[in-house]
Amino acid sequence: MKPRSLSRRDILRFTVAGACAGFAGGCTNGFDWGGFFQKRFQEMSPAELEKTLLRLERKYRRKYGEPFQVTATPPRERTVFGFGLDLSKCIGCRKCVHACVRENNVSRDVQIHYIRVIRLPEGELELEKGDHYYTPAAVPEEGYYYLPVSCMQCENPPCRKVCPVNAIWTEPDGIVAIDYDWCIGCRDCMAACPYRAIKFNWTEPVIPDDELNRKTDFLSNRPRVRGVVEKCHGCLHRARKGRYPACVEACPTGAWKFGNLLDPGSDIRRALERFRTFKLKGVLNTVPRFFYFFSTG
Amino acid sequence: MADSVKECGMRWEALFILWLLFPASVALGEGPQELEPLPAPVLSSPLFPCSSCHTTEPGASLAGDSHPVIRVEGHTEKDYDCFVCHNRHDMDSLILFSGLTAPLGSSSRLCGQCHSTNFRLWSEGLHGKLVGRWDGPRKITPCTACHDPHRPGYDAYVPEPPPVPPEQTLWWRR
Repeated sequence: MKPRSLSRRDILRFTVAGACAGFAGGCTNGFDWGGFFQKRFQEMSPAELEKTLLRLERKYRRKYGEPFQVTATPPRERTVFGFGLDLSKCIGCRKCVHACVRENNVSRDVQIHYIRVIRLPEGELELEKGDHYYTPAAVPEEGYYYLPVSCMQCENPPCRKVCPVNAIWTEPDGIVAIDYDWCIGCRDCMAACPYRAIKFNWTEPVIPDDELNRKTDFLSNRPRVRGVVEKCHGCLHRARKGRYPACVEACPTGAWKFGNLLDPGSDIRRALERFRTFKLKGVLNTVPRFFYFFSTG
Repeated sequence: MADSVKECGMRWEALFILWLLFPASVALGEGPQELEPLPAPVLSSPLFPCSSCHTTEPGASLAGDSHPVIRVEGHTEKDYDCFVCHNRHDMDSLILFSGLTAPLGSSSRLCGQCHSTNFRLWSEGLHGKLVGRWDGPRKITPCTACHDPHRPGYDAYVPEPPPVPPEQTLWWRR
């Protein structure tokens, strides 16, 4: 008798059975199927977003314990956020850096800082002559000035252009946002960003339990995982509720300015009208919404 | 001819009245929104209020160490005696160059007499720090929140720790 060969039907049968077994196994192992089928943030309908937020809350509660809140604060009408920095006032104390780290659940062990305070010798604006590892006993130091650099929230962001999966986009209020669930970790954006503002999670982020900020937002400070990029998002969970970003709030000298670029009475517009400002690496046509200026000598 | 002169005269009167009314229209809120300062801190807490000791007109020098809070440096070191700013007849108030008195907390009026550029920036919310909400009510820190009026230079700050360089950060390179 001729040995029976595998028919097309048998192969299909085995494949389907295997997939079912795998699915069942996956379910019992607690595989995050909801996360597997989660859409890109911009493509979610309000109902889907609601479901996703609830699922993320459950997930983070399991991981970090109660209470945990994930929201998706919508952008405001007729608002474009802009940052300003008074270089005459910046004393290089790095209060903004660490306030940002505490606010945004940024990894502590493998360190990620959104803001890099660059110490430059007086009379220089050549960033390669700068040093951001300075550790004097006291600041400000004679003969130096300090230039904090974070994400510039560009109007024409190179990171958005190079992202192969459209995980980076510009929000209606001018914040360049990243969908951490959609990022594939290719780090093209890091290479494209001329300000080196984007940071990569090389390991699972380590955050001490007592320092975890449990009020989070989908696009800003919810916990990240290994293998995704992150960057300054203008503290949009605070800014969209009318609060100042953590760096602006923490600055002891008031060097940081923040406000709505469309409102003539806002802090940033007053600064733009009063001082001559410049943008960092303006020649690259990234059109930053981050303005530097010297208020005095 | 005479009529036209008369008209001219009327116009000048109207302009004069407008000129008189102009400051009122600014004060009624047509100009930029005024920022309210935060309450000023008490600078010499154990000694406050000054009138608890100074019942009579005091001497012009910081004799001995009766004011440990006041560091003899900057404004207090030379050039000025206490009564450039403090009212010699009422120690709980300040005196302006015009001879008017001002309460001890109203440092901006006093400092602004000399530091006019910074006063202008401060009143626009560009010098000092804004506290509150970016879209709504916000207050500005008064001069004395950051500057000690007796020694107005900024204190040196101990910076927070720098970032760890990547070669020390990643576990496979430790």
